[in-house]
Amino acid sequence: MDNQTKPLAIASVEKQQCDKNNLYDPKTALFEGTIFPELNLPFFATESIHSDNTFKSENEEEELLNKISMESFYLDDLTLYMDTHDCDKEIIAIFDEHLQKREELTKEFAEKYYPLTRHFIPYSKQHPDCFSWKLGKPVWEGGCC
Amino acid sequence: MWAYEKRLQYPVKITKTCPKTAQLIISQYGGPDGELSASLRYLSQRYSMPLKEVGGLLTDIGTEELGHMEIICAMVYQLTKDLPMQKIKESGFDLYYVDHTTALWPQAAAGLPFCATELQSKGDAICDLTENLAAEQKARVVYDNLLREIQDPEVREPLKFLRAREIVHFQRFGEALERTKDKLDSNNFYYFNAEFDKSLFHKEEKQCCSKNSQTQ
Repeated sequence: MDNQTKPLAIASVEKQQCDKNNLYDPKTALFEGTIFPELNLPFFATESIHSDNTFKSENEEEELLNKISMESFYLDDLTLYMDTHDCDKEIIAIFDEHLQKREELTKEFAEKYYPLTRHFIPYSKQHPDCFSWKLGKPVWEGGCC
Repeated sequence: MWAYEKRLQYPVKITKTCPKTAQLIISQYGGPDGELSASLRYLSQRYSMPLKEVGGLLTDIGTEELGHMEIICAMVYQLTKDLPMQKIKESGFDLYYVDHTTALWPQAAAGLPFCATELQSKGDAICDLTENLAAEQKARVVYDNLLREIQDPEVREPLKFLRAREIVHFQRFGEALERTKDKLDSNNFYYFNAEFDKSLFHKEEKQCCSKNSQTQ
């Protein structure tokens, strides 16, 4: 399309070219709702919201669950990026790194507290004496607090 | 197939009940631009998408929207938990309470029930992806409107997160539309429907492929 005029009567969106060295850390990413600073386009009415009190945990269980949420969200946002940028090796390497981190944290959570998915049931300390899938509070109760 | 994960995508911990706020936020559960409508829209459109990777993106975003529905429902639930009758009456929440007590039911803020006519699955990739661009914008405006009105920080933080997701999804649907356009003739994107007139699409796809390899 370089030498031609852009076609009429159709929507166009510029493809994102992300800077791999300029991604948010997992905590900031979850707070902002994206891992990409260039896609963080805030609304004026949310300027007063600061991250100081966000993800404050009352106990170790909640702290670990929050860490899992941060790593998981990092993967969520990366996945959507890779859906439209499928041969980006550097991004795939970042994905692998965070996938492994998430796996380790979720395993630790199952060992100490309860499994978050069926896949982690074997790591639960109650297993195989008791079916551990029923452990833990429903997520809508505010997680483990 | 879906597998459940016992956590919210964004943590919700609301310590002060407010039935009035719940009544506003419930629109993002069952309202015209809500998360239920979003997930059903994308998870319905994906089957007939001509590009496999676009079907994949619709699956991933549709799945995330289900997680957003859960966040909204958790917020409504926590905002209306253990409400005394007096508070239900004073806030106007009694109009909802009479039919649903404090259970979750998909409706818009003004009481309109969820309805599948609020979303479209048209069977034409350009049409559906353009619908999705608009859907993300409409949902963003609902979050803008909620954020202008609601002051409780415990409610505002998850809303800010959900609003940001709408913008990211818009970008991805835009990129999916660009990828679809790359497989079509830019002189007339509307000569046929790539999802239905498949023999014409496959012929065009081959021509685009050879054109691209020549220019490279």
